[in-house]
Amino acid sequence: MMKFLDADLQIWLLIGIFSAWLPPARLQVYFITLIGMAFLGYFDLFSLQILCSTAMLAYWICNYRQPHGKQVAITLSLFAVIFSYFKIQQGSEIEKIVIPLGLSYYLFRQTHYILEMYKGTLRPHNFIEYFSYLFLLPTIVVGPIHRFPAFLSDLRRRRWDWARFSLGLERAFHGYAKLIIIANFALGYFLRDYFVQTADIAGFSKAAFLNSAYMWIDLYIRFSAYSDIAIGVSAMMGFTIIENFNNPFMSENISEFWKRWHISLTSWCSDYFYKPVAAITRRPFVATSGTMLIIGLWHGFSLHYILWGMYHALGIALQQRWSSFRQKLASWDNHFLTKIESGANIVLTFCFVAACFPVTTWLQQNIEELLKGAYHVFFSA
Amino acid sequence: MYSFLHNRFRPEIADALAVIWYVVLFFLMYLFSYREDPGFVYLNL
Repeated sequence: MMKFLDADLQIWLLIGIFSAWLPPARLQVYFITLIGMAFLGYFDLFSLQILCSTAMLAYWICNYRQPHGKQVAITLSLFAVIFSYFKIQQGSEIEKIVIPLGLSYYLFRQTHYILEMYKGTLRPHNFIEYFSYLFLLPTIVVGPIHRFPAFLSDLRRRRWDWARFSLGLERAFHGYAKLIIIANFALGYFLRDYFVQTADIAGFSKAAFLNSAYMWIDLYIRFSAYSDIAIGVSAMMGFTIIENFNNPFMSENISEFWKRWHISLTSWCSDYFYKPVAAITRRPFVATSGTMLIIGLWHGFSLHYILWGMYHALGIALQQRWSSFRQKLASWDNHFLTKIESGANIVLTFCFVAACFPVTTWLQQNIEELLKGAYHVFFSA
Repeated sequence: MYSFLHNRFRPEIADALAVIWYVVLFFLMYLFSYREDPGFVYLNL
């Protein structure tokens, strides 16, 4: 597995920053693209081949002539097949293969590009601008899933700016500090023994809950650190990238949590799945369930992630019912009581999120045992 | 952090605090960098 503190990755990030500023202005876009391609080829040549071929296909479909609905549908289906194939293989217990580096991120970026081109909302641009969007070095490996219009605007207007560069440097520095001091040392050394009392996270025990809470906190610290580094290095290259986290564990309900956690993915799913499905079906629960299912499958094609998506969809539905009921009740006049209610909501939301892994793993194990039993009854001689 | 400090203190104090903050962070990073990075599931998506 690739590691974010590896020396060669740091060297590539430095090369990326230099390539964005040292060449003459009209050549910078070519250097940004080529360095991104060289980086991906260096770490995973197969991933480079997939990204180049899908990117050329997407560009050709969208720019050769006015994109046609059928062509768009076929291309997106092809992307879905590629995505599903690797995800299923990744989750398979028989033959495990390594998923191409950054596949989940760049296929979603290309889907965004195709759909926006189909809607006709993008400004005219050329091939190299599109490629530089996909091959922006800091965002290839771990996102965020940034958007093409903002990128194009930055690409055309970018000028050397000390203030922006120093802000980016500071952001990346804080990302590294978060990763080394909090994630690798404090969480990995001090708190691990307290939280992780058992390797098993299934069931309803205190140990399983603490283990799951630890996983979520570790996930948040690491992923937000990587996002800080990606956003910081991008700023040093002259690009403003969408934020990925906004203190998710301070959310007062589960809907708010999903607006603050992995924002680039949830806003993508909201724009390209939730809103259209909600508009067509007029059933928010159907749209929410589908969206959470997509977010689950984005992480991995398995029964566990299907249950994971359903768990959160159910949580959102119940919370929305409760919120509409709560609004009818009188609110607290007392400022102190309002604060107490907010604090209780924050704790409850975290508990709901942390209980996700034990509940879904327990459900998965039971369903699998049930299916095995049924298979044994009906098909064994 | 730099802009946060500058919004709250006089410039010379903010500069001094920012320098202290970065030096402390650098020192802590150096001190704890022996801990191996275990890698991360999101890098394999």
